[in-house]
Amino acid sequence: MAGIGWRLEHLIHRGVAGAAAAYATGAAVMALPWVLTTAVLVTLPLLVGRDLPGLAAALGGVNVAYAIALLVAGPVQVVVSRFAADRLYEGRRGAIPGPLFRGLALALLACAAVTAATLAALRAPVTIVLGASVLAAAVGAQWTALSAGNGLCTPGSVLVAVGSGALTSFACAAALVKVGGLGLPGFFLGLVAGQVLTLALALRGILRALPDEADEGARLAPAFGDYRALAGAGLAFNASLWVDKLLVWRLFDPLSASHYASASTLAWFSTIPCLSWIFVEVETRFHRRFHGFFRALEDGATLTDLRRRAHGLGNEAARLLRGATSAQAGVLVLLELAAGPVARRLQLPAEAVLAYRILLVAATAQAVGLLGLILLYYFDLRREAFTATSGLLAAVATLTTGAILAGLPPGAGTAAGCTLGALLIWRLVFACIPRVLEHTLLEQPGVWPRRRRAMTAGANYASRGSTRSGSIPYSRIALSTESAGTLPSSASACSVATTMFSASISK
Amino acid sequence: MSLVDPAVDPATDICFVLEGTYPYVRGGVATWVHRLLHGLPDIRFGVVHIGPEKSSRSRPYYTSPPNVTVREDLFCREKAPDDDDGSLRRMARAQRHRLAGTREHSRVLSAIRRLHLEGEDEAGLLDDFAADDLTVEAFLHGPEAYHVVEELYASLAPGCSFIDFFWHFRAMHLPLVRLLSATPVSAGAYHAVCTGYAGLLAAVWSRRTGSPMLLTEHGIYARERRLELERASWLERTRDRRHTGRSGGPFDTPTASALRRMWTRFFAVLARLAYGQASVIVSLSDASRQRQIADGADPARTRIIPNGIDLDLFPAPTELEPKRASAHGPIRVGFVGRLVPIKDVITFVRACFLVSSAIPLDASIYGPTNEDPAYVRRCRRLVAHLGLERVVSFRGSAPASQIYPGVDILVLTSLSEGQPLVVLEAGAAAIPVVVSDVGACRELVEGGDEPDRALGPAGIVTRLAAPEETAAAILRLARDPALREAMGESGRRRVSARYRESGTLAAYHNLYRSTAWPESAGVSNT
Amino acid sequence: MIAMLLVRPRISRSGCSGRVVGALVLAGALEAVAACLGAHGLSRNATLELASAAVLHALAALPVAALARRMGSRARFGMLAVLAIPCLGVGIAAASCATHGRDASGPMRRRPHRAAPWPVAEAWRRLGRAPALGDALVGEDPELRRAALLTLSRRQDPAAIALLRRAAWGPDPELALSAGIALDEVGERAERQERESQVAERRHVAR
Repeated sequence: MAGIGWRLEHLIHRGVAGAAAAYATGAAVMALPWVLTTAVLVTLPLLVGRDLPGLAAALGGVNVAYAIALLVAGPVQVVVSRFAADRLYEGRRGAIPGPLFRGLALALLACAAVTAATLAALRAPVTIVLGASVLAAAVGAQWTALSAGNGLCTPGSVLVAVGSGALTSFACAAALVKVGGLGLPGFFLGLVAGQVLTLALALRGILRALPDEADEGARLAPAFGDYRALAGAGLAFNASLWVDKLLVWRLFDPLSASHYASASTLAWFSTIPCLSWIFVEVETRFHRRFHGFFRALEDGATLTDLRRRAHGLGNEAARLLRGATSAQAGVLVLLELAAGPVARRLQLPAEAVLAYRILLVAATAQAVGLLGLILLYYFDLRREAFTATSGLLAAVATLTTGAILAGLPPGAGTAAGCTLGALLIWRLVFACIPRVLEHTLLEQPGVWPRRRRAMTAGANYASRGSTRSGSIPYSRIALSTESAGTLPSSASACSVATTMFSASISK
Repeated sequence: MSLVDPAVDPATDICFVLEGTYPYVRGGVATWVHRLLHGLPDIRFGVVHIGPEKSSRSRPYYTSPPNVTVREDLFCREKAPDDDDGSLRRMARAQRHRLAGTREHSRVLSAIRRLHLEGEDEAGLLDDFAADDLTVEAFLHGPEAYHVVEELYASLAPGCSFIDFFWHFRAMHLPLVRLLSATPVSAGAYHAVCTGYAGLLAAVWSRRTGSPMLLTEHGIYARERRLELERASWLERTRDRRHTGRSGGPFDTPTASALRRMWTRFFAVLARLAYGQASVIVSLSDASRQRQIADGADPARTRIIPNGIDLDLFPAPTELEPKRASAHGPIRVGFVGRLVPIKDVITFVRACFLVSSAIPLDASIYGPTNEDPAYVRRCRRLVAHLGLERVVSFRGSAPASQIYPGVDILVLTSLSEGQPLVVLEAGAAAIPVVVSDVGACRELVEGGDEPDRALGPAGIVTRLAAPEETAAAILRLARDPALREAMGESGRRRVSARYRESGTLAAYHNLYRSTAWPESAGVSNT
Repeated sequence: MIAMLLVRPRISRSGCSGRVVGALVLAGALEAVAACLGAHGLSRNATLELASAAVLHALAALPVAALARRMGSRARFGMLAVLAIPCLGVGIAAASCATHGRDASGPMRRRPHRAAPWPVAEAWRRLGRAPALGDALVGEDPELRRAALLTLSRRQDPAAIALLRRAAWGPDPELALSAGIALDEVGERAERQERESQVAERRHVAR
């Protein structure tokens, strides 16, 4: 998101209207993709008519397609987006296209193949197998492109791509079913058309930011080893967001599961203001301090200055935590108070209202945990991120199961798991940020590739005969901000899956 | 304690620990080692060479004789890969995580810390260096090493660029840590031919194995490094210089200044450690010996063993006479040495220009040209610029038997020398010399003590970087054949009396075989 | 086709050339025919029509695959998209193969370094205490000596050369060496300047 921080600050300095615009931008970037997708998937069945033969099964297929795209393409997204962000930081844009397209091809093929195999195993009709596989291929590739695009394109172009895609999906599917009379194939074709449009626009935006000539020798495979902890962390966080729905679906009747999933989707909507606040604050003040620290390190700051800046980063993390918690708490109180009237208006059953109230707490913890995870990603604390998200997943799964088995509302276990996970994430954040200087320097290799040898003077007194001015470079610093964009998009994808659960099961 | 201990049967009698010289680099020290190896066939030698990195190792210039029973190469750095495939960063990250919980105290790290902060207790420092409890990984990625960096920074360079300090700390000590992790060669004694990394390694091995250590210095390593550091441009590229936006004033930035002091002190302490452990400290001349003493060597352990020449390799003056220049032909002047700035070939060329304007001249420059191609280009350009293409010729490397018969006067314009072999070779060939007043040159030409001086001057000593003085000396010799002959004869007499290779070999043979080593030698507390 | 895909250029190039447009139009046309066959049918034999549509769909990937020799992974991804997403995959292939890059310069523009203040106080403090250059040369402070040598070697005037010569001929061998090297640098700089002026003069004459 090149320059987004500067633009946001510019807006904020304009006054109240500007600040509102900045936070609206944050909300749009963080929530619009999944809000739009959710809206399309929820409203499309209403438009095409519930009497369309095989629609329920088709929506089940769509569910499977999105869930598999989320799981299979998730690690590829993390790896591709980090790879692109690192090459961008190094100024090697020419090394991005080759691996990016190989990653897209991998996501496309893997999503299609796994979806086809899963639906075939579930004995779904051929039309649904084909339609859902194509949809999964398009969605998997699209999410991968968007995750890389977060760092290469402007947020506006990403939002335009997503918005156009959502509208096209909605319009095409409705037109092909209602006007064209194509039935389920038309429904799938319409859905896919929107995803393809988003993918094509995202690709266009990305490629316009890259050079025409690409280094085809750049390899993606080593990046899977390099970023495996990050990919694992992304996968574990995604899984933690919907493992509770899966458990409820498995251990309860479908109707309860549907109510639970609907409540969860509604609760997740409560995070939009908090996510907006997180986006604006992280991209502006925190980003400035973060870059200031590493810039100072590269520019030759003293140890005292670097310690002071590291301390400042810790304070900044604490401020972010306080702010996000306050924003989310405010929304939580409001929504808890409004839960009754809202439930009555939506005609939700009592058990869904209780689940909704409890899951609001879980969503609060998830949002706060997500912020901590973004900071761990910022500081390139891969193992810590993986440890934290694994802990989060384990806590949610264990406590949700425990709550169900103990006869408590499953949401209580989920909320407790999310809270424990968030605490673990933030414990690691506060343990690691003050030691960011030590960790950064101790992770520098002892020898650097020849190509990179030009940055910092070192010395070579190895041999009397060859007292050369050897140079040992100071390496790239921690990751750039762009790759942190991966997580919200995964979270949004998860929310879509949650919505799908609720939409399909309840019908 | 005699070297040959019947209770011990090491792989070698004497293990040379060499740095950037024999058998890969040609020059005075390498030639000296080569002659020693060949000249003492009854002693089994080991040769351990320390080089910068594996990829920089070239083909050996010298073939080792059969009495070299152990050959080993140690390297200060790993080979740098050509491209970054992420594996280096991956490994570094994994090592950092692996070592994150370790809190073991390393004696080697403690020694590194004390080397900069205290450094007086040489024996204690050596014992710690000999502890062998620090891996390269722990040095690069361990928390204890990082804390040492912070502590040293606070003491040595507060207020300076931390990142520069960090990289210099690594660059300075990584070779040390890498070398200290090498397994010692089993030897009756270790013979280092300089201080620095090689000297420390020999001292540590001596400490670890209990075998004594011998140190011979041709130049004074720590002082050479200091001079180099004073001119090192890489030290000026510190971060605080970079954002001044200036190309550099006469003063160092605070960071460069602190780092220069740190490097200088580092080599000075390494020298003191080697001097402290060495049972015998040999130099080539009294001037060098005095500098060793000033740098911390115990006077009682110092001795002078000058270089020697095999006179049989040089024809007697009567045999050479017919080949010498006729009264009417051009005077043949030779320069023998590597074409590098320290030899100041430029001054020689300028002197040739002055001489050639007065008398017919035929100047030859002998020596390897591959070490500093830019300097060679500069010399050739100057020759062309001064119109000396027909007067000065670059002849490359050649054996002594081909050089000296074609030379009437040998010129050496070096800015720094120890005890140059070429002056001894010229003396052996009865060729008068014109030398700059550096190292032991004056002693070789005019004589050291009174009986030596009585042999007469073997040439003319000039001041440094003074082409007009060099030219005047050449002209004086060229115009006076009798003086040339007399000086040549003095040179031959001096070499014959004081600088015979057999004398050098005998001195070292005695040192190796029959010297009573001090009882304190090689005692380790580790 | 496999041979086309196995070709792996070292550098791939994108661009909307005639060949790329032609390949994409051909692929789109084949896909359109396949879609018509699959959706509406032109004969009574549905199986044959579906088989024909499948064959045409597979054939539509060929023109995009043919671009792999020039466009590398872009074209390979485009071909996969055409194969995996019937009818619409051509749009993805078009986006990946025909989009021009805006930034052909490669390296990201980095923020220029802010010029931090020169350590003026330190320099003035030292200069205030500093003796004359000649005295600094023979003084005890190695940094002052170094600074004096550097200053003299840059001045290139007769007085500086005289001072350097005095140092080179003095009793301190280390100072002599440093001064000798400084004199060498003075000489080198003079040679370079002379060479440059000669080149400039020759250019001037040639004009």
